[in-house]
Amino acid sequence: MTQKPTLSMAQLADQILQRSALGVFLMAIAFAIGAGMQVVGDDTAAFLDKIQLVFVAAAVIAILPTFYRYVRLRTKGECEFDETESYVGNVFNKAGVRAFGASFMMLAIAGPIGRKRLPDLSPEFFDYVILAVSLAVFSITFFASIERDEEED
Amino acid sequence: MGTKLENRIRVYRAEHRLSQAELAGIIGVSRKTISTIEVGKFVPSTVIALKIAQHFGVPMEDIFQLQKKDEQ
Repeated sequence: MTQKPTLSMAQLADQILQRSALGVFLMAIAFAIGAGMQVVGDDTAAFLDKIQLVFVAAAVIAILPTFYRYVRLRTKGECEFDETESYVGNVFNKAGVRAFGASFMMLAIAGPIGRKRLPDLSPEFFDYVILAVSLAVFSITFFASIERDEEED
Repeated sequence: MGTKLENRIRVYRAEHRLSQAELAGIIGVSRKTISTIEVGKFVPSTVIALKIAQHFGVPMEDIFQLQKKDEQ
């Protein structure tokens, strides 16, 4: 039986940040589907609703197991770890700042213009679009910025 | 004209026969953090820099030096 390699707290924290970014990306798709549901017919919307549920479930599955493991180890207090001392944490924070900028731009400019030009669409549509763009900017920035995991020398 | 933080972590690791993962474990950071510091992609906090220097038993300036970009 092969033994599962043990992870340090810092490695685990990096892993949870990477999985969180993946979860955020999946949620961005879920919100984009939610926006799509506002503009299609009832039959298609019912189908998209099921697809959306799959993405939400996938996001939860991506994050929850690692998060549970992290919290369990953390509550045991076996080792000290400062989340700020991490390259992945640094990239995560930078992605958050960029996503905030994108959300702000969407809320301040694109949202009002969209509502004016597309008055027939429901407010939920614009809410979903803004959330989808914000989360997509976050996750894409994160994965585009992060250094590829090269082999150890 | 900018400045870049040069480091000799790789050299000290080789002298002490330590892998990135081993050093990361000792310092309390992830391997990725050590590897990105080594290649100059991530500028470490003073705390990490001091921990690394302390581990190798040398002053921090022996491992980390500021280098002007136009000197390269």
